[in-house]
Amino acid sequence: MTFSLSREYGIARQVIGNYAHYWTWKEDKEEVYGSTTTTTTTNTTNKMTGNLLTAVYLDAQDPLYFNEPSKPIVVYSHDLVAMKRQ
Amino acid sequence: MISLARGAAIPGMHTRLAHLETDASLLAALGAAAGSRIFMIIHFKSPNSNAVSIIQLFFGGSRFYFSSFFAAFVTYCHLIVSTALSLNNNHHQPIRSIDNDVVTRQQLLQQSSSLFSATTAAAILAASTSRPANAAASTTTTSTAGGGLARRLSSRDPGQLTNRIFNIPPKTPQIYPPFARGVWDVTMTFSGYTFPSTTIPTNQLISNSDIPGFQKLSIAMLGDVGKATSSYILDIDTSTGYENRILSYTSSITSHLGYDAVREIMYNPKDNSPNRYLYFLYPNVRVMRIISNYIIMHVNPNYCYYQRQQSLSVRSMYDK
Repeated sequence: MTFSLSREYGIARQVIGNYAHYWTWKEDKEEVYGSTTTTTTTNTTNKMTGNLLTAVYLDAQDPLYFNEPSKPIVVYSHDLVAMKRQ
Repeated sequence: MISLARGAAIPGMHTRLAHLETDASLLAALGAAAGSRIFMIIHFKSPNSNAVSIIQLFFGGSRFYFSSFFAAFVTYCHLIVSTALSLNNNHHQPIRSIDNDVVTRQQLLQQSSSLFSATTAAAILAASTSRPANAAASTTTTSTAGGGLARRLSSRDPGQLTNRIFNIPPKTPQIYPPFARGVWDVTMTFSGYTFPSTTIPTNQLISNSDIPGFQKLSIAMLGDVGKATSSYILDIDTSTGYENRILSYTSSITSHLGYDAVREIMYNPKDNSPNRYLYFLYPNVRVMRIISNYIIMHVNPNYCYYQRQQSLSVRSMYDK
């Protein structure tokens, strides 16, 4: 489903939405254990993992706005994996 | 100054307005609000288009009520500004159209939503160690860092992701930490959704097709929310730490839609409002205008998290 065009000539259809993205990124590291000692080292893997939460809020024009003015009404979640280009 | 007074009845609106300054135009608003429980929309006319943007940026999340509040203040100070309503001059027109596709997706959502309940909300947010907060590990030391964002994310409660009332944009662009700098190929995997509201029934929400995410292109970075897997290119400048947002948004929208839809993006990170304006111009005269009006970012040596709040205006012209 896509955003439909206006049905009235000369009048643009406009919809306003409010939302917030909450991004989290974490550098991915691997631990390398020493063969002769107990020490460990960490190496970067050129990889990041994270997630994206998208909280959607009612717009102030919405008749239900004052029923839920601050809390999100829908939250979408995405997992993220980023690989660095060499 | 008041050119429009209309809207939905809002209980208690007259009490919400009661503490405002006593201005001539506001008195009229108070009278109408108290007498007929009509939501007042104060519409300031001004030829200065920049003023329109300012108000919309400050109060992008809650334009009508808070722009009215602010408009009363600036009226009291004898300033002339415009509200976001000036951009939205057709707001009194019906903006919701239902077509077959809408019903199809709504039905899909309705069917799938039966699988989710309030208890699954926490599961969605807590199922992965990488979400919602890698920040969770640091909450003991950074509980107040990032404006409490770490605490809110680590609570794994979607109700904590509250809307910001006053969205004052930062002065500088968002700067990424050193470990995130470079060019990245990012894969996004849709992992679920939830309806955290306890005051509005889910069925009532689903019937509103204008809620962001229910239609394509209603969330800029997520052109098609329900798509299982998508990708985009994250390009962070190695020296400045600035994100190439034009590339991020273009690649993400192209991936979500499956075709090259972006014709032009107007965005200048070096002007006085680096996080404020993004314009997307689509074929068939679809225009997306994004206002990033609030960003908070917290950076640690090997992780970072940030909140980016946006208002998105989507306009489409008449289809002959």
